[in-house]
Amino acid sequence: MSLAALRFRRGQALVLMILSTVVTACVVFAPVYEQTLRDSLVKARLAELAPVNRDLVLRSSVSESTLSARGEPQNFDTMEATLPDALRAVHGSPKLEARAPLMFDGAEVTMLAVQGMCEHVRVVTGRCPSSDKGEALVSARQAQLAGWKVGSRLQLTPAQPVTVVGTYVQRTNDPFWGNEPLNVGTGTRGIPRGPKAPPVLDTVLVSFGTFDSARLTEWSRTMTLPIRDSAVTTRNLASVAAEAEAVVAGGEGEISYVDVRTSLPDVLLGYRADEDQAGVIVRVAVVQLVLLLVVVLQLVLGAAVEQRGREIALARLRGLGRAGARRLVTRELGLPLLLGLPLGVLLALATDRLARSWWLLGGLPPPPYVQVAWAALAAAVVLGFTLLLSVRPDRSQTVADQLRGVPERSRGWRLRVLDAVVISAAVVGVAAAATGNVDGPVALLTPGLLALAVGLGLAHLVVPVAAVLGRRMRRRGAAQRALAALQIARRPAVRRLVTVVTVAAALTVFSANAIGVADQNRADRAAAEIGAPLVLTIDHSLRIGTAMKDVQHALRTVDPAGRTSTPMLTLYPASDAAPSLTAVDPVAYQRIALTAGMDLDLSAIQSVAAQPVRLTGFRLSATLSTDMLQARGFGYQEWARSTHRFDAPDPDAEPVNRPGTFGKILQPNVYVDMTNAQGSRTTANLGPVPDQGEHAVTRTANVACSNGCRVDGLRVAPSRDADRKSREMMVRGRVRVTGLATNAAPVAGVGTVSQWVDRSDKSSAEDRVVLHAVPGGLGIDWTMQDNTVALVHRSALVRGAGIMSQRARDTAAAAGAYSAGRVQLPSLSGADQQYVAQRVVPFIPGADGSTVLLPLSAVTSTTDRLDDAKATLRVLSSDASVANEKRLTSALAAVGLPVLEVDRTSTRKETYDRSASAWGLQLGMAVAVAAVLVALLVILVAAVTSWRERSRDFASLRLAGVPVRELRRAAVLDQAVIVVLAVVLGAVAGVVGSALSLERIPLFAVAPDIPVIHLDTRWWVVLAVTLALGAALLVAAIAVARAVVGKAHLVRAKELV
Amino acid sequence: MSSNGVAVETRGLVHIYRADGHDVAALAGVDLAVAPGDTLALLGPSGSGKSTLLTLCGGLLRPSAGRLSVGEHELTTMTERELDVMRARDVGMMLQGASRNLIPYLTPRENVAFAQGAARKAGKEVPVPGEVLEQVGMDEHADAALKDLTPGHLQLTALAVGVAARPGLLLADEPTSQLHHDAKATVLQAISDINATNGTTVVLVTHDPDVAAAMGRTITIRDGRIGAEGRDGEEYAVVTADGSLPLPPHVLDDLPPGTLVRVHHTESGWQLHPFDEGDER
Repeated sequence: MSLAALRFRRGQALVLMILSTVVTACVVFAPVYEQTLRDSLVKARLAELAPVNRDLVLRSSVSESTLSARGEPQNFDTMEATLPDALRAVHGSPKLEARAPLMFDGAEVTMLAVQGMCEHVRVVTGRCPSSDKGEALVSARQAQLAGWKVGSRLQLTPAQPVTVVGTYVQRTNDPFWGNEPLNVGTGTRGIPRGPKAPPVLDTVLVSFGTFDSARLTEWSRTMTLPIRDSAVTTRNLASVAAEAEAVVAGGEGEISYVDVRTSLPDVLLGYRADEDQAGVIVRVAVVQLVLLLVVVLQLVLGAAVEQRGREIALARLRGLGRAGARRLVTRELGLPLLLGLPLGVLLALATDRLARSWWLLGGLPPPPYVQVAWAALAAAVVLGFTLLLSVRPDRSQTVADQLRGVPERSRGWRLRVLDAVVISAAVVGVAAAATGNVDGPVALLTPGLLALAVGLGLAHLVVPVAAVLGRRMRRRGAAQRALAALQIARRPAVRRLVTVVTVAAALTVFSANAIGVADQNRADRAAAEIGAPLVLTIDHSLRIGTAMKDVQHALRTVDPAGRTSTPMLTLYPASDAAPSLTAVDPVAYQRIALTAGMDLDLSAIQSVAAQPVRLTGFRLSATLSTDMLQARGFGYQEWARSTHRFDAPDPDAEPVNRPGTFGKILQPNVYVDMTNAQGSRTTANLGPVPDQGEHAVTRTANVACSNGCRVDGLRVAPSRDADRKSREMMVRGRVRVTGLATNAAPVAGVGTVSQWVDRSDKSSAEDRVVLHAVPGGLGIDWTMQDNTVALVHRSALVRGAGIMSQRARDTAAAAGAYSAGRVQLPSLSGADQQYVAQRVVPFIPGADGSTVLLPLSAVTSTTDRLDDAKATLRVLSSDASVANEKRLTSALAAVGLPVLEVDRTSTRKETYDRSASAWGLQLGMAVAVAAVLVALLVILVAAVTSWRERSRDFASLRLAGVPVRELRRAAVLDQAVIVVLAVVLGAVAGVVGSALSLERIPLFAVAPDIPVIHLDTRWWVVLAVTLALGAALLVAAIAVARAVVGKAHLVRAKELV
Repeated sequence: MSSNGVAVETRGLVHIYRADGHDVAALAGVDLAVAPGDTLALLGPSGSGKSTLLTLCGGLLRPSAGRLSVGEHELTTMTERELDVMRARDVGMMLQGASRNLIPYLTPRENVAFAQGAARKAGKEVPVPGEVLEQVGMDEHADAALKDLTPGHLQLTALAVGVAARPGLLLADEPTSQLHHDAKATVLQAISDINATNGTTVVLVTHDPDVAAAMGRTITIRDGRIGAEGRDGEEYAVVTADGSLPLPPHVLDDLPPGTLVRVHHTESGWQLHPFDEGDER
């Protein structure tokens, strides 16, 4: 009988089977996808490791200081034996290596043995060293330069001379060598070294045996085990990471002097940050869909049960009773649900496979089949429970009620208890989420709850409203519209249709918006953090001299107009609490930097440094004159004039209160601080100021300023041999510095008074320095406890105006380095300097979260030497192509600046795309598609379950004289109104739900350091999705309406069966 | 005739239902006795309560008051389960409209088998479906699709379903409505045959005088009460338990409601004499 019933209602059975398939697929897919996602996360974290960090490295070494205790490094067998099996299992075969840094003929040379090395070099002459000790393979170029030939004996170590048995050339780009150049001595440029550094020879390759007999004082054995990505999964990551940590900690005695390096604990940490998010996002997304599907299934089953009212009534009439009737329907409806179960499992596994190939990573372990079985069981329970709930007998209905040909319909507005409960729960949930009383995963259900409340509310409103409107329109004679409205009011499927389409639209819009917002945020974060499509970080650590100039020179060779590339210099403060300084060329930076949607107005940043005082020559001269020099203290309570003789009062005598005189020793010197063209700082001592009353004197000093110097400061300070007393006395004086000249050629003044800034250390209340203009120079009046005046020229002080990030302002303010728009920042000279922050912006693209952006010219006006500063030098480029990267890298290498790191915004974005959040939210796409399909399905179900009755109704209307055309229009209008209304309200619910819950969705595993997250609704996404969804559903609904009217043949009005 | 039939008896049977917020008495004290194996037609205008009486007899509704027994079952005190069993074993019903009795996707044979399911489960021996269909003359169409059957065949199938479990009582609501003459005769003949062969008591509702004439007795229900009873072609007014006597409708033309009537006993029996003002004088 069940099969006959299924055949009779094939369409309905098919719909039920599809629903069962989709519900099962969702229930099964959730844990499967979550597991796949977790495995992907592990794989992604492993893939993100830099090549140098991917391997498990065990290194045992001895040096002169540890030689006596250790003898020699641990041998390879001992090292390997100490590795736990679990750790060993996730790594491949070890690569063995022995290495010793040696001095040979006053040059540095590395003696190296690597297992299998001969297969990774090209042997030019001779052969590879055999396992015998004392054989060496030297680089062909080095052999040529040094005159070594096969057979030459090299006394590399005192105990073990080696014989050259061949020459080699290193195979380029061979990963075996891990980017280690063997031709460190004869390489094209080599790494720049200090002037006193010894020369370097190319690496000498020997057999392992050579090390054993060489009696080396410093050497190491290294065992490198490559990690096997496929062997590390979520199942064993925690245990192997723990084992790795234990090994690293050196808990076991045998490896006590083996340094172990592995990134597995870090991988675990990174994974842990992601895995919780994975669970939350996946479960929330799937739960919403499952809820929708279960609601739809329940509605469809309800309709199916209602449609089987006659069979149920007949079953009761024939004495089968309520239970018998229920069994009858349960059997019939249960069969398609049961058939959908295995299909759902297959669909879930297929979707998982699709996800693996589309957006997750390949090569993952197979899905956990036990989990699949449990999930399938859970799906069966869900389906079974929903079925039983749907077919439960209505105890209030008698057999006679059920036998009634036309079921009694309620007129007017009536809310079922279940609906009222669901609406109330949804409203409470949404209100709690909106007021922030609910947090966590539950809050993420807000869009679904809101849509459910809106959908059910609308469903219950639309029927009575349509009835009222229909009657009104009928009275007014608008037959077509009246018919449509009355159809809406009469059709039992309307409420289901409205509810489901509203929820589906809300979920679709929410999912699409969430995906759009998340994707934009990942892109924005990547752009804000990297700063430009391509960023090269330069290794300037070994560079002595003006790296900045070299970088600018290199960039000019690649990009003469400066259109695509620009340097960025970051200076870090000594304390992490203070902000860093980022210096750029504002014009180029504005053009190249990615602002991630931020309005980055750089017009405010400028260098406000004064024109520097420049001088060129080898002899500096200046005229000094003094008309006052007095001191007080050490018994002299009044100001006393300085004399040539220092008459210290008798310390045992009573304090005298008379003018006294002091010795010449109190006369401070005048110093001129300068920076030469090479960036070196130099100071010229112009000697002591003249005694009071003495004539102006011209002093000279030798300076190394043949290529030009810039005057940074003027100091009046006691000479080095001044004694403690003279340094501690309060001294007041006045000196004029005029006639500044080099090689007897006058310098164009020392600048105006306003260009000099007093930086004297004032320790007493009386301390003060006053500057005044004098013809051809500068007048300095001072009253200072330590007799020291320090003046800095503004060109050296470099008070630039910049913009600062929000966090920089906060951190600087917290550190007391920010006040009234002025901020203390590190400088190239090492000392902090003051700058003006004109504006505060959320972040500076490509820079730290806490930084101040200044023009490069302001920062390098003092010096562009990076020697003393903690600095990072980068190149930002708008051209992310590999060709451009190569061009820039070559140009930088040509000036001796190797590229340390290459970053791309796209690469960073890809990293964020491989996160739990991104992968989890991708599920939103599946949810959206499924929601649309479900809505389509419901439209179809509404037609399938009621087409006979509706077409009969339409046939009756045709009999009554209503033209088919009008019927068709009315039917289309009826469907269109419902779909449009539900889609629009659903979209609104989706947008509101997004606003309420998006901030609770974790977009990143680790929150960004900069305030780059924007959760604004992606309106174009919302609009596009709403239109697409509305169009799809409208087309389906209209097609269904037309089909039903098409079946309204007149004969149906008399249909008996 | 076998002695399979069951008796039906009602005493002061009342059924009140609620419509538009008002209580409506569908039956207002019906006293009726149907002997086992009798055939009875319930007549009366629409809404008089005849279908309600039939439904009550089938245990599909609970009476509001009074007593109702079918065979040995006192329906007013039975549980729902017991009513289910009674319907499965002892009472067959034909609803008005053939299609309402049939599962649309089953053949006549399957429909009969479906209707026998509960009886079989209750331990009653039932004939094979083919036998039942043969009895109503549907054996040739036993495996046809319902949509291919004529209205007469559908009605016969509905009858076969009604008697599928060999019930002691067959309740049929308008079994011949919408049938043309020949089909009507066939159905009536089939009902007659069932009554004769199985001894099944037959109570049916009809508006058709021909159908009524084919039944042993007719009962006319008016305003929820028994208005008249016809036996052997003669119609009798029936005195109710409270002593009232519903007059036949045609008499009401002469004796409209409110007419004062004097009841005289004469040698030939009781006479009704309408009150006349001249009489008073």
